[in-house]
Amino acid sequence: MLNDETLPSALEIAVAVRSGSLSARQVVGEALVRIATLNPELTAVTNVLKERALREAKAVDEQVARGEDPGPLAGVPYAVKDLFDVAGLATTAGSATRLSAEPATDDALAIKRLRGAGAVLVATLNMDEFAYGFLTNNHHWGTTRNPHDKDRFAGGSSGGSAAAVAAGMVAFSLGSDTNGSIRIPASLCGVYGMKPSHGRLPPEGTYPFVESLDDIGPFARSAADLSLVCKILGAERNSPTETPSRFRVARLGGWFEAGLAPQVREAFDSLAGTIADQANVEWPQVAAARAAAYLITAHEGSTLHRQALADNAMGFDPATRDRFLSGLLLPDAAYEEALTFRRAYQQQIDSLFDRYDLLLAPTTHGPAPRIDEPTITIDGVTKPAGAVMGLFTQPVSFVDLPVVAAPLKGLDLPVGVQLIGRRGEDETVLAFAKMLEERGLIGAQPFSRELVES
Amino acid sequence: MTSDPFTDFLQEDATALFSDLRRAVGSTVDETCEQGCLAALEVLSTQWRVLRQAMQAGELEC
Repeated sequence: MLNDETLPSALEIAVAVRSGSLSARQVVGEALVRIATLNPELTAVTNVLKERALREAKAVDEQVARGEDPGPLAGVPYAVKDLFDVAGLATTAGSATRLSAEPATDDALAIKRLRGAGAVLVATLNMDEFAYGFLTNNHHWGTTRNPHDKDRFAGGSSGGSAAAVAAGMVAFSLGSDTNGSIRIPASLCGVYGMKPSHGRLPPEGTYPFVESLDDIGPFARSAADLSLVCKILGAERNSPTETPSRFRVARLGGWFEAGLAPQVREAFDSLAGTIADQANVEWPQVAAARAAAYLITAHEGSTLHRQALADNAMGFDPATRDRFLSGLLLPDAAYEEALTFRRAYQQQIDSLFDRYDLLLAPTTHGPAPRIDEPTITIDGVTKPAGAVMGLFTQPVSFVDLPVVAAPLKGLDLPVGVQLIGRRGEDETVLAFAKMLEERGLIGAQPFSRELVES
Repeated sequence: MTSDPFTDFLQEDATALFSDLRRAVGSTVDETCEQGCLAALEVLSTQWRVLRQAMQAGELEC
């Protein structure tokens, strides 16, 4: 199982465990060994839940021995971002200020649903403090490194979630996305990530950042695994809409094609040229949408943390603290104007889907920035990476749309494409991702263990 | 004071704003936060300006 070229999918693990040809304890034991081996170099994992994981794995094996079906994720090891409640642990949301918080008395609802499907929780994962960042350079736990080049960032804020899956520590993971925090690290680590339609997957038992924009979602090494985990997490929702047999696809132009790194442009053009209409679709008023997302984030995030700042401002990561404080200085009128804009804007964007089922856009301008040089150069202008990393993702989540970030092929370092669907039609986006994967047009970047251990 | 919150906001003295914040939020907000906080505030005011301009251009019925 530790052969890097043949990292098993969640589906493959579950089939083997359900058939009795592989024990859940063996699978989970191997995941724990892999975490112990790779995490010192990557800093993806913050807590290893060894006892709990072995106990859950034993329960799965006992079900199989009794002839019962443990579920479609039987024995599959996974991990969650540090903002999911895990019974018995303080939910830190990546902040040292919450290390002494009361431990959670129960698991987050998403974890309960996954346990009901036989999945085994093995670890919690690093993130930017309170999810306010795109790099995962955590002030307390350290910087999560990219498994494809450990001198580069993993992206954020769910960087631990992406890196753990890319490095094969776990078969899938959970993270959260407010302005790009699933899509960006998935893209930079060469795995799949799903930002669902807003509110589609259960947030109960997670630590919020910006409640009107937050969504939880999975990371996986295949579109099929991603789809399975989404189905389990959203099991109690209405039955899915029928997915089309043929997809009407267009690429976004203008803002979404400006300043791409040459290799990314080539890979994106190659994919879009194969599957999309010739005509580009213009996403209107992108800068205003991003600005409004920025203002809503600052206002809601800052309001949430106002009391914590009053109690212990200097315990925060300075970068997070200063941005939250600035949000407290922002007049309410700015927030109200951003909300007004958002309501009208959503209707305008919905109309883009009258002619198309899916829209394509890159996730980032280029590969992960170097840790010793945290900048991005776009069209010859160099800026702090954290300030511009969300240029392609913020305008999309601002209007609540479902997006799969999927790995482009043909790149030395990973970059993803956003497959953007109509609001509420998550199944269409997942079906499209699976179709592209089956046709060999997208696919997780293979992980080379030597890159981490060298 | 004008009737426009945006104009009023731009006319505020940033350091005075920060002092108000320290009084309002509490003494745990150290003066070492001021520089970073005001830099972040500058970014927010730029974003508000971008949003304002778009809304005033009337391309969207808000």
